[in-house]
This record gives sequence, C-alpha cells and structure tokens, in this order.
Amino acid sequence: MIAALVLFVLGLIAMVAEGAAASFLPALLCPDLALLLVIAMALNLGGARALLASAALGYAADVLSGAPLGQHALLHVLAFGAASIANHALELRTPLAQAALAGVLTLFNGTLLSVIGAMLGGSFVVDLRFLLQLASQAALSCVFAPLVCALVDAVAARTSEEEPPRRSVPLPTGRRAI
Amino acid sequence: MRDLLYRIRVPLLFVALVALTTATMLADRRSLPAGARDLPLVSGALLEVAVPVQAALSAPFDFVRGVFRHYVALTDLRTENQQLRSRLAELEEENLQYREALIQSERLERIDKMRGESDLPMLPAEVASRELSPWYRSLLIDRGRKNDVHAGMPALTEDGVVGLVTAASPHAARVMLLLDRQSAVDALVQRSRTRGIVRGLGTDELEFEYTPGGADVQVGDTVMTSGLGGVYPKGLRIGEVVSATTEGSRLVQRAKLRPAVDFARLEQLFVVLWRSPTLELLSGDLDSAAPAPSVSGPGS
Repeated sequence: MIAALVLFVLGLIAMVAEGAAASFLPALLCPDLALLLVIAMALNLGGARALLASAALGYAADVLSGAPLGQHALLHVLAFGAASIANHALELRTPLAQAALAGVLTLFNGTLLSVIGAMLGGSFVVDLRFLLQLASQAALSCVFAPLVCALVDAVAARTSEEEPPRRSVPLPTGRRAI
Repeated sequence: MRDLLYRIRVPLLFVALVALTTATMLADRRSLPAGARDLPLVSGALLEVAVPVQAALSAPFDFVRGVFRHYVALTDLRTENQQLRSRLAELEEENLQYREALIQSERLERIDKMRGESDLPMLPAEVASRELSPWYRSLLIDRGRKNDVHAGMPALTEDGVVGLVTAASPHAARVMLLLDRQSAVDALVQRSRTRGIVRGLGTDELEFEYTPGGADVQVGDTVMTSGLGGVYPKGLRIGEVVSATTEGSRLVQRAKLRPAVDFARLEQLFVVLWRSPTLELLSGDLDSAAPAPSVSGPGS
C-alpha cells in the first residue's frame, strides 16, 4: 500500500517536473516517466494496488496534459497488464529485458494514444515527424527503464516491512510468481 | 468462491479499470461539445498543485534562459542601435538638404519678385569674403570688370540695399556696405516722405539724419533710397526705424535704423549694372551714362 502510494506521488512529481522541463527541452528528449513508472511497477511490484496507482497516474496525466479524461489511464492500465503478462511469461529481470519491454510498450503506447485520439476526433497523421518522435520516445524508454525499475525496487524494499505478506500463486509452468 | 475471487482480483480489477477508463474517456469526449466546464474537485486540486510546483521548478531554468535572452537581446540592441544611429544621421542629412532647398526656393521666389518689379539689369554675385579689416565694413564678390561690374554700381538683395561697389578687378569687386562709416545714402521715410541721410556707424545699425522742420519719423517707419544722391536708384529699401530721438535744440535729428538686409547671413547679392549720371560724369564717360531708373517697389 505504502509503496504504491509513494510511487504514485513520485510519478506525479515526475510528471510535473517533466512539464517544467518541457519548456526548455525539446519533446524528443523528454521520456514518458509516468509510463516507465507504470511498467516498472508492473515488473517489480505487481498487484492490485500498483494497478490502481497506475490508473491514478494515468488520470493525473490526463488532467495535466488536457487529454480526454481516461485516455492515459486506459493506456497505463493496458501497459500495466501487458508488462505483467510479459513478466509472468518471460521472467523479465535483467535490465536489458526491462529496457526492451519498455521500448516496445512505449511504441505501442504512442501509437494507441494517437489512434484513440483520432477516434475521439483528433488528427492522427503517420508522418516522419510522428515516427521520429515515437522512435526517440522508445529509445529514451530503453535508456531510462532500468533506472526506474531500480527506483521502484528500492522503494519496494524500503516499504516491504509495511506491506502485507504476499501470497504465492501457483502457476501451471511450475514457476512461482509474485 | 472467496478464494477464487481473491486469486483473480487483479484480472478483475484490470477489466474493471479498462471499462472505467474507457467509459470516462467517452463521457469526457461527449461532454466536450457542450463547451468549457469546471474540473471535478480532485482534478482541479491536481492542477492547482501542479501549476505552482511547475512554476517553482521552472524558475531557475527560466532565470538562466532569461539572462541568456537578455544578453542576446542586448547584443542585438547594440547592433540595432548602431544601425538606427546611422539611419538617423542619413535622415538628418537628408532633412538638412530639404530645408536648404526650401530656403533656396523661398529666396528665389523673392528674387524673382524683386526682378519683376525692377527694370534694372542685375548680375548675381557670390560673396567671396567679408570684413577684411576690422575698421571697414565691406565684402568681396566673385564678379568684376569682365562681368561689367564697375565701381559706383549699387549692390542689393531682394531685401534691400547692400552697399556700393567701390573697386573692381577683372574677376572680383569690393562692395562697401551701408554699415561702413564712409557710407552715406540720400533717403526718405516711406510713410511721411521725410528726407534725410542714412549713414553707416561701423556697427550693425544705421543712422538716419534729418532736419526737424515738419519731419515725421516714427518707430517702425521704412526708410528707402530717394534716388537723389546720384548713387542709388530710387525706391530701394534701406531699413526700418527702431528708435527716434527728439532733441529740439539741434538742427539735425537722428534715428536709428535696423538694416533691411541681414548682413551677417549674406551669401549672394545682385550688382545693378547701372551707374548714375553723376558718377559717369565724374569718371569722364558722360556719353555712356544712363538716366537713373526707379524701382517700382513699395517705396516708389
């Protein structure tokens, strides 16, 4: 509970800080820290509270960015689900695997964001500029994902004594997942 | 059952959240055409917090950026300032030329009017130099005997009498100004026809001497050449009375005149190509003497 709350607050701060940095940094150089935090929570924390925190971060992103309320929230929930499934299936523990997953999910996130925006009446144009931005976001996610995962790990470790004991869930593969 | 629900709580929550976020997104989209609306309490609070935090985070960067922009702006300003100064100098020069042209135009208009009023042949001349000696009020002009300029010819401008040509060389001549102490011109007051002599004092003023019997000289009167002195044609403006003294016991009264011509700013004048019969007689060339014409001006 505490870990999810702390990470939610950290995510909020990250988004606000990113908004401040956007005034002097080009958009191509600003990673989507909230999405990375969602992915990291899915990989290293998991659970219903982390999922709720991810949705809440998405709503906050909607409010701050002016997107239709629920757009980022939906995508964060989907990203959380996809990352959880990938983690369960592939046991993504190495930084390289986390970076690759973050890159792929960032690509999907950007594309879906544009598609949903177009469905809601916006303009969705796949041009060189869009592809460039998508590629740069994915690259930035690859770079920052291991760092954010380490941060989430650290927060989870510091708050673990306050967390309720997790129950082991037996999986058909024979592996144990948390 | 309860254990099952607990085991699938995350997938259930996932589905519920997907449904919820989709619903809110669609609802939000549908409410957009209705126009602007206030944010819900939680969302509004988030914005309320985000704005000052963002402002605080941006402040140091904005400061650095502002300093940099000011520096760049100052650099640009210096260049722009230099360009504007240069442009201003050009415009001032241009303006000066326009004003000079305007003055010349007005002057030419007055000259044209003067020449239209007079039958006298006139030759324009440029003032080459002036006041060669502190005791004499004279100037040199760039016309001489080659231009038919001879001693005894009057010099004037559109404003009035300048003086008299006292010496001429082939290409230059000296003009004694009315202000010179040796200068004396037979004159009369335009209004009252009081006759007298205008003398130079060596200063910037002239003196009008006249006999008091029946004389009427007042401040503001215009004094003109009478044509009787044998040097100047009749009707040329000499000056204006600025002060008149009444000293009853004296045989001669005096009035101070301000010259009609501004000698300090004299650049060009006209030499009247005419000498009075008296001067021609004195120079022994009576045959070529012409009768003294008059100027059809305000004093005639």
